[in-house]
Amino acid sequence: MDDNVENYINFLSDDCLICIFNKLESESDRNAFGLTCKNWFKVRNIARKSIIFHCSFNPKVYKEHANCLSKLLARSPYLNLVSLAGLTELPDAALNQLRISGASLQSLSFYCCSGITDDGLEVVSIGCPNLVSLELYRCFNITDHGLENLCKGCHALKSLNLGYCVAISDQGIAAIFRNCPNISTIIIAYCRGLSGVGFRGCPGTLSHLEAESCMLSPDGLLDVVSGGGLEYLNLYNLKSPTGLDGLDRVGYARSLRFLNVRMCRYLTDDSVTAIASGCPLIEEWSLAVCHGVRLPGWSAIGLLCNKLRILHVNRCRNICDQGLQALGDGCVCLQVLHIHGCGKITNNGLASFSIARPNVKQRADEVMCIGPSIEDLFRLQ
Amino acid sequence: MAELVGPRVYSCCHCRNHVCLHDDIISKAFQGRNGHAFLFSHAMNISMGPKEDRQLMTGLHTVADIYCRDCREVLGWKYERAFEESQKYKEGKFIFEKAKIVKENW
Repeated sequence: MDDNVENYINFLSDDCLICIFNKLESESDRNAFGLTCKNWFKVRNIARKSIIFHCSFNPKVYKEHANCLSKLLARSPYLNLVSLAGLTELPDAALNQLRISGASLQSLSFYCCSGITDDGLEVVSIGCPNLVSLELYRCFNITDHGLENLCKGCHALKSLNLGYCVAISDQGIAAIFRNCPNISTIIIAYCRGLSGVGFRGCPGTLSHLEAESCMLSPDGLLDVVSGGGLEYLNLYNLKSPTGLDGLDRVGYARSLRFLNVRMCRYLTDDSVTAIASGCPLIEEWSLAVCHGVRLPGWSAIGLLCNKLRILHVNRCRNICDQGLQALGDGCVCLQVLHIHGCGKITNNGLASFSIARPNVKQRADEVMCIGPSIEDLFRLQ
Repeated sequence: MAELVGPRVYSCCHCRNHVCLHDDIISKAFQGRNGHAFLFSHAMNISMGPKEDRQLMTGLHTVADIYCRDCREVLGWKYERAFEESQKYKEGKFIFEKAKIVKENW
């Protein structure tokens, strides 16, 4: 072999090697690059931008992930994204190594890492000041105290996933808005301890809120929409301990475009009218399994929702042919209607609707999530 | 909804869909999969799963699981056939597990 060729490669500087490395796209190529020699191994570690451990249902895989995590973190000082899924026994101590990447870390995901507690969040708040997106889905041990510390350290937070963090209350939520002026996406699904009053004074930057299966009170709902910037709201299966309907408060969210009130059993016609008149920009609305909506409600939607493109009325017990006709007579922008299982709608009614609105696509599938994919908001661009 | 003086209704624990009436209770002394269960003569707003033969504490029965029609939560089962004479009285009746139903405002 030619001696000169060997020397040539050794003269390439590190930033040349990094350039070359960044052009490699497949994981196996990148790993092979790193295993060539010590120098190239160092380059591979410097150029590593993300660590992603996907969810697996095999406990052995989780053990492997947990074991090699600390080594990977120690070697890679310029990480942007660390995503750990399913490491339920990961202790807070493992997060100390996030300080190594510290200022470059922008996105962290502790999906189902239920071993993380407030102490771990404190480490994150001190070590990762430039954090933009954080997922704490099913981290049951997180409390208001930890959340407050986190927000005080990470002012740049835009997206926060607190799904199933049952120990959190309105105080913790209020702390987010005091400290993070850019916050735009919050997920509080299944957080039973929240009534919504913590959202009082929330900034107009808050545009996406997922509050599936929450127990927001009527006053809390008023505070949730008080920011004025909310575009996407998911209140699927909103629980109401008193049986009262507080959803008319949603009518104060002037910028609302996507609303999911699927399975809100207590939703009344008055609230539907309030929402239809208060939210003129609404594009997609799911009222599936909302048995409390009757002809006055459907008429209001037909009359007032002039930008509505997609409507879901699957399995509503109280929509009849007249209601369907009212929707067809109005809703000038309607493109898709999800309808099936509505006991009071006859074939005649559907046929009349098809004749009156031939351009509206009728679909029988029932969709749980509407609008933009919220997961995308937690991925780095 | 206004206060109604009427039949005492049980609802699905997940979505508060009305599923059965207190007046239809035949017996409170049954065992479900995870605890107490009641035997009802009627059920409403439920959908049924496929029939299957199951060995229960009282013998072999043909049962079909019942689901809340709105949220599809499994609430219990319906006895389709009983193979022993002493168990025939259960045929056509519904078992709702106590943990899966809640009293609706009473």
